[in-house]
Amino acid sequence: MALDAARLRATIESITDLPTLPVVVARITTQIANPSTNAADIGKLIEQDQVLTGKVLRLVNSAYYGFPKQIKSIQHAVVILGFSKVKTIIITASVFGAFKGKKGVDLDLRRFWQHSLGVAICSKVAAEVLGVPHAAEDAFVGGLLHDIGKVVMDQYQPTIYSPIVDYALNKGILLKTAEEEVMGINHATIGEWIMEKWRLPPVIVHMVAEHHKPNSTSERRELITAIHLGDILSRAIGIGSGGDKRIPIIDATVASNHSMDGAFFDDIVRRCITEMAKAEDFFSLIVSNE
Amino acid sequence: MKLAEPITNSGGITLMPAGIRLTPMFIARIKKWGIEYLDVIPDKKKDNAAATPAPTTVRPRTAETITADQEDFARAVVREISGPFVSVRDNETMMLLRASVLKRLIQHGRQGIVNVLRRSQAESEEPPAEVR
Repeated sequence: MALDAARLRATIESITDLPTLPVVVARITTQIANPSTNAADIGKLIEQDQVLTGKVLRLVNSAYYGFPKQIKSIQHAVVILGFSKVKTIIITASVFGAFKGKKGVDLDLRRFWQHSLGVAICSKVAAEVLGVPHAAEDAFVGGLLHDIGKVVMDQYQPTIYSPIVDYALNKGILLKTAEEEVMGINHATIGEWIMEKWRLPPVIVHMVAEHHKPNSTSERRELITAIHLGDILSRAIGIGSGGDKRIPIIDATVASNHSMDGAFFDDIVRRCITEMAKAEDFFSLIVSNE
Repeated sequence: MKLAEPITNSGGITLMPAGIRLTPMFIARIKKWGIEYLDVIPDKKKDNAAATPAPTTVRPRTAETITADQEDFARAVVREISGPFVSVRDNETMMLLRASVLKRLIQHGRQGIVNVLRRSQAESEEPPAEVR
């Protein structure tokens, strides 16, 4: 039985208390994409939101980045961090802020967010290993948001999603597979709708929408592959839970194209684990109430 | 004896590089950091020279000195990691990934990601924190 996807989309988009990101986030990400923008422009936008201003300044002065001198102005922080890192911080802080205090119905949200953070880190590492290091920060954000469709369905459409979660756990299949069997679509499509509603950059919308299609012919294939690999790496290392107890198989063409042998995995697993340990400070600052 | 592997903190910053000579004073200092096990390279015995007695908390990583605690830990890691891989055990690429993960987690004992893994497990067993 496949649900009417258009009707489901309309239902989700009409949910009045669906978490939203601060309006300034879309303005900042749009401005960052503008090649003629400068640090002062971005700094002024960030300063419109006190919470984001505080987060950015605390992070730039944290041990995670380890800059030797105190950075006191947002504009200086933007110059020091660079636009990509600023975008990552803004989106990460805003997403966590939007879902703060929410409780899952069938999903264990604490473990879900741990999984999402693990995928963010592993996707960033995968982007560097797969030869697109310039897009590593985008891969991080894509990894963080890749399963956002699941949490929205869990919280706002539990009558539809609860049976799907139960079905996946009872049959021992991936949640994605159960979603497709019941709804005809999966959480990646739902995540795409949410990202579009939040007006996030097209590259991030595309990564979320396609993260289960690593063989896509998209020009962003390597980024999509990074999320595909990041998801599997995070599950393999055992960080958090994506809502099911299975691990997807690395696409055979991807594995062949990138010569994924023991040495490849030894290296990428080592890097992921090192980055996860380093990121603890980053995440504790992102999710703190201060 | 010399340090075989560098000592890093939870942020991945190297505190002591590999190859540094271990003196009793150094060992006393690192014990204060909470480090219990080290990978060491024993000195070659010189003629007529007495070997420096190794403190009990520092021992070479050889098969005969793996403690019961470390064996239990290794088994726990294998159990925890292997579950999701059961359904993909016929896939050679996935088994290579599994091997790398197990090697890394077991080899590096209590540091780094192991703490994150254990914290992840412990938190899932605790009652939900009060919503602030």
